[in-house]
Amino acid sequence: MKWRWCCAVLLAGLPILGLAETTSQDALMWLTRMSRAMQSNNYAGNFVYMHNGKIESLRVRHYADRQGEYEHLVHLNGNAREVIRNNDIVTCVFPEEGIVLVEKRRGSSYLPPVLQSGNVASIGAYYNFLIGPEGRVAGQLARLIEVRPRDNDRYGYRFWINVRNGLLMRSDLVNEQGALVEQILFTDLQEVAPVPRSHVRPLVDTRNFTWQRQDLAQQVNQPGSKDWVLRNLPEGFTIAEVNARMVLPNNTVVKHFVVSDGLAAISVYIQSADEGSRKRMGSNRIGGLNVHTAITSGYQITALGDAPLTTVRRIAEATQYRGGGHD
Amino acid sequence: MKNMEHEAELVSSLMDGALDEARHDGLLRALKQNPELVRCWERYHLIGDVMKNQLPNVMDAGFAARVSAEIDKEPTVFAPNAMAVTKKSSRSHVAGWAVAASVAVAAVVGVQMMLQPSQGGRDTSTLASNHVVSPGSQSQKTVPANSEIARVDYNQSVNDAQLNQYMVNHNEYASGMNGVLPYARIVVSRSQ
Repeated sequence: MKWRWCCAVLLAGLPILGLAETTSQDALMWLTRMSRAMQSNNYAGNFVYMHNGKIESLRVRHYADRQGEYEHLVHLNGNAREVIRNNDIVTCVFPEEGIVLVEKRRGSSYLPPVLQSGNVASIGAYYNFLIGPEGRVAGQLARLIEVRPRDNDRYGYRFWINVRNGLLMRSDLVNEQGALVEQILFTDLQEVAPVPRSHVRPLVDTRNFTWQRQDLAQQVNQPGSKDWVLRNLPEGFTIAEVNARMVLPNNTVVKHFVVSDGLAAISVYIQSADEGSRKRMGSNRIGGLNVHTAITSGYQITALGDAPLTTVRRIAEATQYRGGGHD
Repeated sequence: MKNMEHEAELVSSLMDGALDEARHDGLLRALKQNPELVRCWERYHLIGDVMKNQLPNVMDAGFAARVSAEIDKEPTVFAPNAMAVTKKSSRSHVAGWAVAASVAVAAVVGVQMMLQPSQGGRDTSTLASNHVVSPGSQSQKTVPANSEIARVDYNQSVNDAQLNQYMVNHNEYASGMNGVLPYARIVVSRSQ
């Protein structure tokens, strides 16, 4: 009798387990489709970006050709900050500072590696993947896909994905209290015919700007990374990457660690403390991006990423010097 | 296209003295046949001069072309078969010069204007246009070079822009779920 009861529970339970698995996989398929569409489609649109109680208005144009992707992002109000990306070369124009930053970006997918591999199980301990209802965004039908954290150490994500073409119509970043931290909401997004790459260029005359290039190639294998240890990281977080040191254009040497739970990524930058370090100490927030700067053993530690401030601060404070004093 | 990039990398290595000697002949042949590659060679040298602060006050973008034209008029006397063995002494001249092809891209953006005759915005320099933004074309062939150098100032203090640098860099790695429009933040952030 007891045995039969057990069997019944087991049999009843199997389809539920199976269903949960299917839901995760289906949600993942939606996210993969979105990632692909955002990379390989030609589209142009306007969106509002809400963060810190502020609303910003931006325009994006994105194109893809046989050589890859190119896109242009422009702030529509105030100083026309803009970002132009040509494949993996990212050019950021800061008109008010008179600075142009050129960076090489790595990787091409919008999805973090753990999702690209379809390995939902590995982060299933920290997140749920759910398929929500359909709704209307910017006049178009979109499906809600939700990534919900299981604890308070990380943020949650909600994506509204265009049912017809897979483009992202709305994206919410939700904090540990369930409040909206950051939102991207398209008011208009259309597929368009591509324009030549040469037509995608800064709106402002950047000829008298200071150009700064931070090059991955300048990153050499890093001596001294063993001098640092990250103790007592928040649960699920591990060091995902220890980067070769980079040299900023002003010759400051910066060490870089990436700490991740598989979805959220927090960067830790370590450099010698300078006269500006004391001013940078403490916490800061830009959109969902929390920043915490601490000083230890004569070094300035800056952690930043999309995670609750407590998590970012813990990661900054977890970073401790134990080195032999040489680089 | 891929090939061109590859050859540009070889050019960069050659200039650095880092190219395997067995590949010299092939690359020199390619340089002979491919005017685009020659322009690339010119750009790299110009960038090198900029970085070493050895640029004259006035750049003559047509210089190489005129020299070539003059050489073409000369009868060919002999063609050296073997390259003189070059000493790899000046490698440390510019740190990281071996990566000229990539380091230089930023500079190319500016330098390109000097080398580019007026094309009404049409971008003929495929190497550069593949990777970087062309801020516009310049109609004169001869431009005061110093006004252009200002953009490639590697000694400038960037403390104010430090957070921006971190953020831009962070976006490379954190193309996480928030990475759908990762640069939105950079565009709207205020430097501290």
